[in-house]
Amino acid sequence: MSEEDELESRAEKIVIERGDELIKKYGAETVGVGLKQINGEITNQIAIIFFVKNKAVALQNEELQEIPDNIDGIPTDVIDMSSGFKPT
Amino acid sequence: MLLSDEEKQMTEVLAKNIDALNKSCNVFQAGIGYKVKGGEVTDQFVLVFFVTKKMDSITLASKNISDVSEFAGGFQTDVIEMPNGFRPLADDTRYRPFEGGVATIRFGTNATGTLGLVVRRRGEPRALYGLTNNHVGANVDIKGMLPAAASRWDPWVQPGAHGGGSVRDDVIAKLFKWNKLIPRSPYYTRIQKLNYYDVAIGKITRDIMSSNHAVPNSIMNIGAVGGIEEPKTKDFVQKRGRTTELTNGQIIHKIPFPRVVTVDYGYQCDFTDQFIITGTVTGIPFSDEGDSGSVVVKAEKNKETGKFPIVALLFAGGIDSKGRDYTIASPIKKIADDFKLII
Repeated sequence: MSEEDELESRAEKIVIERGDELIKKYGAETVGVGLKQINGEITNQIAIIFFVKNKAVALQNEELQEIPDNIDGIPTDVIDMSSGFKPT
Repeated sequence: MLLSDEEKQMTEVLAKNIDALNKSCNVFQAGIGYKVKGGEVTDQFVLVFFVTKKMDSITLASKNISDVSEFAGGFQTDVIEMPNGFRPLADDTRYRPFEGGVATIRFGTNATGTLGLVVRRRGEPRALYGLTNNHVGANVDIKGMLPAAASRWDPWVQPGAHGGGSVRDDVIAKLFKWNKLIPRSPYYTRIQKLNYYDVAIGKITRDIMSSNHAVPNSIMNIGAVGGIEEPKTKDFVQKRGRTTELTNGQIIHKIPFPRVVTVDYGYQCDFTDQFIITGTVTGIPFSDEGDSGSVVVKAEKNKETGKFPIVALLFAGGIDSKGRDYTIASPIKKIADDFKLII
């Protein structure tokens, strides 16, 4: 298994096993695994992806913690999907 | 077409700087033409740049984006904001014969979606079926809602409502099997309320069969498709749908079981084991309204079969706060297994 595949497996394990805890702690809608975006560009960097609604509002909620830059050494990425997902 | 010396010089400037304009200035399209001022076309001939978001010089500097004038070779410029980029007009053409990627809908639903593929089912060598979404072919049939939104043998028309598809002239298939969408509900356990896909299959009618008007295992603008591949993050993919037609994308996220992504059908439905795709051409989303039901295939053919392997069926999407598009797609393997499709 390549280093990259190993990182993806680790990220997936965290998301599967600790997903509920992460969603609750950070007020996210969805948590998944994927490619991090930097300055709007898709990179090849594996990350734990958080989809959130109204990022600014969530940050003001004192019960929620701010999503850290990494979780157990795996980078995170936060995507503001305030309009949610709809059937196309 | 003959170009004036000035036009030639402008074209050369664009050719020389287009990469820098794309990367440093967020320009997704460039050309030459007349400047538009106050909504009026002037007689001033300029370099024209299309961006998804126009910004003032202070915002550009704060985001480390260069001003287009740096790459304009001294020519005058016009910057035009096109938040959604350029899109092809939706294709509501009536096709006979037809293949995957064309407009369809369950007759009576005032919308249009996409017939993803014409396929065979195991044990029925002489019959053909159309594959699309529940919300295209079964009128958003939700578990627990009465009366049911759709019934077996409801007719599907090609084209859909926007193309004026009629029961008299345009029926191609009859609704055969679909999964009722499971809404979030306190009555279901966590596992019971998970959706894995949004699928409907319709049996191609005798008329269409006898006239050989349904082409199996083929997608318009793509060609022969077949064989199943598991979707993987980083894979490059393509699809052909009714609205955005042929588009290219990349699988960028995975939502593994038991994690969910929620789709708003009027009722919130949670989907697990899903993949998320984004368009790879700036300004062109991978999918949009009306593309639901499109089959997602790999960007490159399988060298042995000469066909594009199928990875997923798309059904939903959204745009983030920065304007990036996301399409949700379900792995085709489970769909093929559960609906006995030969892919």
